[in-house]
Amino acid sequence: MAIKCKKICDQMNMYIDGNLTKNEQDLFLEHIAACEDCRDEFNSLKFMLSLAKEIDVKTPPATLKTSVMAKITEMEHEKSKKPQKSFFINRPVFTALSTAAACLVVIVIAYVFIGGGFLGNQPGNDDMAGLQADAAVKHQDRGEDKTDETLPGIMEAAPEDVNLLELSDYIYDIRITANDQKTAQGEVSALIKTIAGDEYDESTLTFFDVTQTDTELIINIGKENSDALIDALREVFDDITVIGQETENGPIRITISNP
Amino acid sequence: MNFEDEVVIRNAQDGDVEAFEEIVEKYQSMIYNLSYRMLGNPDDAQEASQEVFIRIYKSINKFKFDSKFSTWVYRITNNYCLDLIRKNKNDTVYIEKEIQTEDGNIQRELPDEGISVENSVIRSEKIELVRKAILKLPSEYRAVVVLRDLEGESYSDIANVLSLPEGTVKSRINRGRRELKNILERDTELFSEYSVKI
Repeated sequence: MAIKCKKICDQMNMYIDGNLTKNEQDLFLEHIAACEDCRDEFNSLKFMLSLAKEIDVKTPPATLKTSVMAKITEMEHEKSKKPQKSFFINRPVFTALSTAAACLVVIVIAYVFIGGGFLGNQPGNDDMAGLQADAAVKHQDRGEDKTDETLPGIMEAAPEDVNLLELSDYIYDIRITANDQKTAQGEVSALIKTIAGDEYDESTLTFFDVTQTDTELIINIGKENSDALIDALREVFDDITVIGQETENGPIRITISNP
Repeated sequence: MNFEDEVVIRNAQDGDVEAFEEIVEKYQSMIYNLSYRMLGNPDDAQEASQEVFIRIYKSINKFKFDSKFSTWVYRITNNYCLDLIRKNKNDTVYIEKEIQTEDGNIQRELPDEGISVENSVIRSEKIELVRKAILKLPSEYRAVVVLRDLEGESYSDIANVLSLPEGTVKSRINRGRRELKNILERDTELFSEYSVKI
C-alpha cells in the first residue's frame, strides 16, 4: 500500500465522524476519487457502518419496568418494615467494649471513606454460639453529636435488615471477636454477603486475614475466590483496586479505595 | 439536562419512588438496547437491565450532576455488561460453529446456510450479520463500536462513559471498526457482492 493510501485509510474514520478539517477533507476526497483501492475500502467501511446504524432498536419487554419496580417496592418495604429495630439508624453513635480474654481470633473490618462510607452488620443470624458476644462498634456521624453506649454484643443488637446504602454518611468500625477462626470467618463472610446482597455465594469465599487501615478495607482472600468477591463488592462500591497479589494461588488483597 | 429531568432525578434522590419510576420509563429503552447490543440476546439483556436499574436506584445519590445523566447511566450499564462478558469469557458468543477440516484447517460456517448464498442476502440479513459480528469483537472494541456506531454517542461522551482519554477512544474506534470489517470479510460474504458492484 502506498504511503499516501495508508494515510488515507487512517483518515477514513475521521472523515466519517466529521473530524477532518476542510482542507484535509478536500485532500481526502480527491484521493478517494482517484484511487480505486481506497475507494473500495472507504465504500465498504461506509456500507458496514450504515448497516450497523440500522440495527433495530428493540422495545424492552413490558415486564422489565414492572419487575424493576416490584423489586424496588420490595426493597423499600423491607427497609421500612422494621425501622425501630434499626441498630445504626436509631443508635447513631455507640461503642461496645470488647471483654473476651480468651479470644483466639480477632477480625477487624473497617471501611471508611471521606464524605461517605459504611460497613454494615449481619442480618439476623441466630446461630451466634461461636461468638463470645464481644463486638466493638464505633460509629461517627462526621464528628457530630457523639455519644457512647455499651452494647452486649453486636449480633444480638443487630437489626434484621439494614439498608447499607442509607448508612453511607457514617463511618463504622466493626470488630467481631470469636473463639474460633472458622466461626469468625463465617461471620465476616456473612457481613460481606450483607454488602453484596443475596446473589453473593459465600461458599466461594475463603478468608485468610482481615485487617484494617484508615481508609481501606483490606481482605486477604485466596486468588481463586477473588473474582467472586470483587464482583460482589463492586455491587456496592464504586472503586475497587486489587493490590499485592502474592502467589498464584496465595492470598491477594482487595482494597476498596476512597471514591 | 432540562429542568424537568433534573427535578425528577433530584426527587428520586430524595427517595421518591414514583420519580424513579419515571426514570425507569425514560431510560429503559436505552439501557435495554445497550445491554442487548453488548450481550447479544434478549434474556441476558433483560436480566442485565433489571440489575442495572437496581444499581442506579441504590446509587442514585452518587450522581452529582457533573455529567449528563444519560452518560452516567451508560457508564453503569456498560460496566455491568463488560463485567458479565469478562465473567463469561469462556463461553463467548460464537454465532458460528468452527469445524476442523481434514487438512487441519479451521473453517467456519454460518448456522443459517442460506445467508452465504450470493445475492440471496436481503438487507435485514446483512444487518444481522453485522450485529452478530459486533458480538465477536473483543469487549473493549465492542463497547466503543456499540456506543459510537449503534448508539451514535460522541467521542467525548464515550470517553466519559468509559473513563478513557478521548485519544484512546478514537484509536479504539479505528481498531474496532477495522476488526469488525475483518470479521465480516473473514466469516461472511457480506462484502463480496458489494465489492463487485463498486
